[in-house]
Amino acid sequence: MKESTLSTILVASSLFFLVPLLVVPILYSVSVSFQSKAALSMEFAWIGIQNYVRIVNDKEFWSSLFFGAVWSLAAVGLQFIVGTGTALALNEQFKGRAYARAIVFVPYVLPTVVAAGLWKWLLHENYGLLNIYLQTLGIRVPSWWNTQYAPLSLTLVAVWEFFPFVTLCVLAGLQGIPQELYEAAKVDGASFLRRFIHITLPGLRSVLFVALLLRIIWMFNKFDLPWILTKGGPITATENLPIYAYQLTFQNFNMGMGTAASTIIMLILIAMTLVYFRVYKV
Amino acid sequence: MYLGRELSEPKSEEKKAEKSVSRRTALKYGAAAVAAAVVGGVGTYEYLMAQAPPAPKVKPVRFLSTEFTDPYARNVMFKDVADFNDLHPDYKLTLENVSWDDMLTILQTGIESGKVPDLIFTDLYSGILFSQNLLEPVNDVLDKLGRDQFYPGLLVNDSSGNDYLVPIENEPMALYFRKDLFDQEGIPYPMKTWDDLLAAAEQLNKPPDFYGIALALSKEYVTAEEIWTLLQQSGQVLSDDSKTVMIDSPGVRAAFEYWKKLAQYTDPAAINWAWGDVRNAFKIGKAGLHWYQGRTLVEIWKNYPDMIDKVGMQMIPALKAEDFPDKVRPYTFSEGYMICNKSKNIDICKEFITWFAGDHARWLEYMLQGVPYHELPTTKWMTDDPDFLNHPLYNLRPDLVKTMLQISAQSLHGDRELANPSVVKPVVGEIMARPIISMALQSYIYNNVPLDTVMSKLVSDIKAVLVEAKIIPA
Repeated sequence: MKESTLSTILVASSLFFLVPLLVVPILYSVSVSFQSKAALSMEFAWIGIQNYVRIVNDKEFWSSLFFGAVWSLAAVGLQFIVGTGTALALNEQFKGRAYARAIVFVPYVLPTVVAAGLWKWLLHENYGLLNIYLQTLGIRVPSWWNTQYAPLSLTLVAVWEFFPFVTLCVLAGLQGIPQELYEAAKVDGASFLRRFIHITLPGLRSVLFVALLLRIIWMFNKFDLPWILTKGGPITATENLPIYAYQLTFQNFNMGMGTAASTIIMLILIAMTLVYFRVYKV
Repeated sequence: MYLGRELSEPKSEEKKAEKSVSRRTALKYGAAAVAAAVVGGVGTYEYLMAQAPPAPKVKPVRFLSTEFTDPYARNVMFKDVADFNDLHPDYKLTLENVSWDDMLTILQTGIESGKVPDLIFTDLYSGILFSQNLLEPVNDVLDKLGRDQFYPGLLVNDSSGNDYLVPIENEPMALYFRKDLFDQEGIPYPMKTWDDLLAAAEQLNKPPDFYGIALALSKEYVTAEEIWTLLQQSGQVLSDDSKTVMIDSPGVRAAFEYWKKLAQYTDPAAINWAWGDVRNAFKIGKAGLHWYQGRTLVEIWKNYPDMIDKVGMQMIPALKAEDFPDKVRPYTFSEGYMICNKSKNIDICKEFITWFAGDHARWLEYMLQGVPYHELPTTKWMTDDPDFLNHPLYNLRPDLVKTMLQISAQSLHGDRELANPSVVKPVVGEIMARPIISMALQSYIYNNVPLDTVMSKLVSDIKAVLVEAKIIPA
């Protein structure tokens, strides 16, 4: 069989699944975004870009976009600090390293629904273990899920659950940095910090870049964690774009606006992916 | 050393070749055996199938419910479904228990994909199902069961006289209070007016360890149902017959203002609270008052038995003292069977409902396995049946049984706009199925948005919804 024939067969078989499972729903969703359609109804009416105009004029859309962007960047930033630090520690030789490595990855392998449920209970104002411990120490804390603290609590849970991904990437990247470089730097009297800045970071550049982009995209698009923990509340304090789109579609039953919001999210993610392709030259 | 490695390599290759030959042979024989087994298996299967008599074509019937969350009631319903299937071998009724959060998503995706549920047993969504013209009239079922046996306030119908629900259970709202603390503080009860309730909540309030009242103030749409009772009592309506939105009225404004005052005496965490959290706060002794259906008592009975004698229950207070208790119209959830008009199995669904509710013993068995105080009769015969009250919890606090039945009876009056299921007025059904009111309350209570702004946004949001739902023109 010719190589070109084999390629055609392989691509065609992929398209056979991708078109009905991915392309058709996306096209359907985009087409609904130009229509007026109440949920539970099969009546459609073309209204052009009215749904997009309403979304752009909706303050909640902008607050969701803003929160989503800030939350993603804050959570990813902290994930990188914690994840890289953990990877550096796990890269050292010490007794029980294999166990430590296994334990560190536990949060990431837990299903999000389990992790979110766990933290929801740990931080519960009446039953939460954390509050109970703090109260025994004489520290009275307000609800972790009120307007003031909910964004912080949500960020910390996101860091806890997803930093192992960064650890995993960085740990893999560290294996590719030749030890000779560190040894030579040590001979030259370079401190730990200088070795980190001049050897480790450049050596990890490509790994960090890929992990950073992926994590930002995934956090920006995150629905399950904030939905389970806060449902975007209190009020709209932790509402990101995916929650905004979900509420429009499944709570306000406005499929037209909901799919328009989803299309906007898709466009933002496509733009981020293009940046990734361009910068990384994939 | 280098030479040695060179010399040893051919030996290793030879071994590999030997191994690979034997592995290849094994693979060949293995593949042949698998192919033979598959061919033989398929042949045998086809032979056996040809000998067997043709299987009857069983029609699947999808039965969706949010209600059978209690294990005992669920088991009874599963048993009933199985019994019905045994009697009707041409059909297979399958009961799917789904959470309230998922119900509309499942309905929506079902409608989009053409896989609509046939039979629905729920409470909250009938209004929107009706306004979207998704329900099949069940007049004939009610006639067979004896229409006059049902409380008229629960029979929900449209202007042409069609009924869309066979009500099975009624779940009215009651006000719970800590009788022991009321006695200790010298607070009189029952509380007759909104002001009495506010004063009691204020007096009991001892933050941060104890709060006067537990309110559900999250933005979930169901939490707004706490305030429906107040709206009903203030005599206000959300829409008139010409589908005009009338929510911005003095009565609704007064109810909003009252709610904000009451919210001062609830835990600040209530901004995230839904029903479960409200009940918990009361049960664990962190709040002196709350309102909900009968489930609170059952949970106290099961998990905090020492508290059962400390609990008082009464009708939710009226706006004016002279209206208490007789003119109070408690908000209620009436639940029952509905049939989707897009179903291809309408007749068998009707037969199931008639089979279930036509046998008093079967219906009663289901109710007795449900939640006492919470699920109350929708028919006169069941209210009069001494077996209905044959439950240990009813025997434990007979005084509360009397109160709850009075609350239930008054919730059954037909002169309620905010009836649930709110089939009568599509406008109300559309509003109640969305978190519009709860979001407005949150912005008023917690964001201190002026009431004028809140009302103006509420009216415009509701109008947008009604236009989208094609109830009023754009």
